[in-house]
Amino acid sequence: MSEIIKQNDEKIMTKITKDLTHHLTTRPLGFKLWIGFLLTFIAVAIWAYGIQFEKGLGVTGMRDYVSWGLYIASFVFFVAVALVGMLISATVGLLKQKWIVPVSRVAEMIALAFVLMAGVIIVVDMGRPDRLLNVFIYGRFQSPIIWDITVVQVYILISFLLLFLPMLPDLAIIRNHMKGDLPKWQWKMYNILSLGWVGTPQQYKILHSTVRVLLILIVPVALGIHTVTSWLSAMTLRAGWDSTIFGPYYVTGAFVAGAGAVAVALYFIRRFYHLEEYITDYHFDKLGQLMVLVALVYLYFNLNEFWVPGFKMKTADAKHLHTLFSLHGEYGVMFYLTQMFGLILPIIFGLFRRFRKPFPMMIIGIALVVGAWFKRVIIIIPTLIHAYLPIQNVPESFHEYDPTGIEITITLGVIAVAVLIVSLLAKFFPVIPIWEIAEEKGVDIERDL
Amino acid sequence: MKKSILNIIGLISISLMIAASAQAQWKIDDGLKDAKLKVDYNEDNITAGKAIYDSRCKACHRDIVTTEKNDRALPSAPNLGNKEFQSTNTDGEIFCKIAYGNGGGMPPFEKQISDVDKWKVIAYLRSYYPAYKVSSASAQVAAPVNSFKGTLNAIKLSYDSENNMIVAQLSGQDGDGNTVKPKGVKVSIYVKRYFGELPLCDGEKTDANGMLSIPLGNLPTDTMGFIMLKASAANNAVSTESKLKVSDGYHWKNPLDGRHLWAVRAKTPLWLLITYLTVTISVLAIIAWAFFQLFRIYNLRER
Repeated sequence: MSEIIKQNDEKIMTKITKDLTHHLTTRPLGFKLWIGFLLTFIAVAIWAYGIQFEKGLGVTGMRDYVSWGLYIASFVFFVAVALVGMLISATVGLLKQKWIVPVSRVAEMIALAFVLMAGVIIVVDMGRPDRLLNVFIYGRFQSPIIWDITVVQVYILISFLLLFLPMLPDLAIIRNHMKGDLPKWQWKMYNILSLGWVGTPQQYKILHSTVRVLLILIVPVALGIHTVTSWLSAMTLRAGWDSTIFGPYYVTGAFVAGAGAVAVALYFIRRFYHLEEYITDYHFDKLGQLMVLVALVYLYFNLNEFWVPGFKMKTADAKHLHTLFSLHGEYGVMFYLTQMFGLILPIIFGLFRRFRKPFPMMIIGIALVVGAWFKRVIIIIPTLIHAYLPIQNVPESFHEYDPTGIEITITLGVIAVAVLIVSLLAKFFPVIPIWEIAEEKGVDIERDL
Repeated sequence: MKKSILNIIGLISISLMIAASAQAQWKIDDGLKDAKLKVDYNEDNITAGKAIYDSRCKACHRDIVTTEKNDRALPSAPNLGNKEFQSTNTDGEIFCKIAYGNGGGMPPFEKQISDVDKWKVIAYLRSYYPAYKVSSASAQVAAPVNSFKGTLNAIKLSYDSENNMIVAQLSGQDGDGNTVKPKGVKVSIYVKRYFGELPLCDGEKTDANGMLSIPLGNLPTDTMGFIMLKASAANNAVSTESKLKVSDGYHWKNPLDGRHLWAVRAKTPLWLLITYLTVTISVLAIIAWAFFQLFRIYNLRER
């Protein structure tokens, strides 16, 4: 009897392993073109950064008034998207939701790639990156900037561990079963990274307890990273930033952006790796429900953030809000388009089951991510244009902000690096946890290995 | 550029004032034309008049100095101590000028200053005009303005640290050339500061020793303990400026001292430092523990 079960287990296991690791062995033309496309982008961005490095930040559109431009807006965006790792793996995972099993690793890959780029774009925003170390040598503990640097680094470490630790059994499976199918260097990489995993009960015990601790730890750290990021603005006395709800406002906004990013990534991974059997309509449906939930919370915070000061219209706030609320204001059109496509329409469509299918969810996801980026621009830049005390004797052009081509190129380049990292991680590592899927299907993995 | 704009504005305003004063028309009531002072010409009314003058008139007319002719040009209002003004205007005419103004630079004070007070101001103005004859109508003999007759030589200020008082000492000579201590001379003492002077006393009289002591209170000093004083006696007959040390120095609390949110890193508030370090070190410790688990897993590998 047990022989039959074992044979059955082996059969299932072989199929799962084959399905979920097939993409490691292939190098289709489409993938090469995609990577080439991203690398071209990045190369142009590096050239543009060379100019910026040589000539200084004067080549960007940033001046005395708007000293935080696209770079810092993108920084907030990167941090926001990175929060999805915590949302999916920790918040939903600790609630014992089973549907996140094939989703969680993609979420962690996105989290790691984007939080790394959050660190990079801060350096890009520095006119003198050679003075980066001064932040650590002379930084003041009283400054939210130091807290932000600390928490970003901590988040990078935890994201890495949460991506790497649960991957150990999968790496061991690949090492054991696919030596013949892979190029030598690739197999060697898995061999080293699997850390000699053999799947003893003791190893599993260590793995489970460590992951569990990290999943609990990442909740306050992730709340911390985005709350502190919001404090960079909210602890400055500025119309539009002078808000007590900035922390939760940012965190919920991050969940929306992250849910969108995961939907987009899942769609393409499922399509190109032919994983329809593992990432099903059910997962997109659940992800859609989660997206609507967090978007509704975010909508609630948006109401508070814009309607409460909009009701009072204090002098400085009024000036700031006029640029957003009036269609003739500098950011009016962008504001309404962002709120419409980045928040309200996704909520409305997400309420219907027929739109929580893979393709519509991908479209909604793109709207959410693009909307999230523009929302960060709206949060950061208009406020800077309206200082409480105008700067004296500056050229008229300083009162406006027009990002230059170089600035846009570099920003897109950094985004391309983030996408490249996600693409490479998803190409060279199993995107769906093999052992967890097997466990779900009732295979006794500890014995099988 | 800015300076020339200011110059132009100044020129325009001066010419406007001149134009205004050219059109100025004094309105004198017939019934008041020859009127005499309607309050008693005495010390009390003169002092009261000075207070009103200081608050209402001085901003334009400034200090009164006895001169032959008006020595001030526009935009300053005339020096009311000039003999030409004093001799050609009756009390009633001055009263009307105060009440109605001239429709130009001089505004009307009909409602702002009561009639009695207007007369007191006039009494004060007249105290600068020795030739002023008290009208028989008032039927009062004016008290002498200064009880001291003679020449004032000097005024000296000193600080009495025991009683925390500023002491003004006058010296002078009487009519016969003998050195005396002038008694009953009016002394004014001011503390110099930014934006105007702070009066310590204004017109108080010296005692039999020719001295006047004014309590200083807890006036702030500079960081070395000095205050700058300005004193004059008998309408600027003698005056002095002195710098007196009256305390150990004003010790202000430097807001950069101590542990504050706005201070340098070495002065981080302890609660913040402890919170930051505790949280950061604990989180890093857990992460280090997690990395150590990787090592443990590695140690359990198949050998």
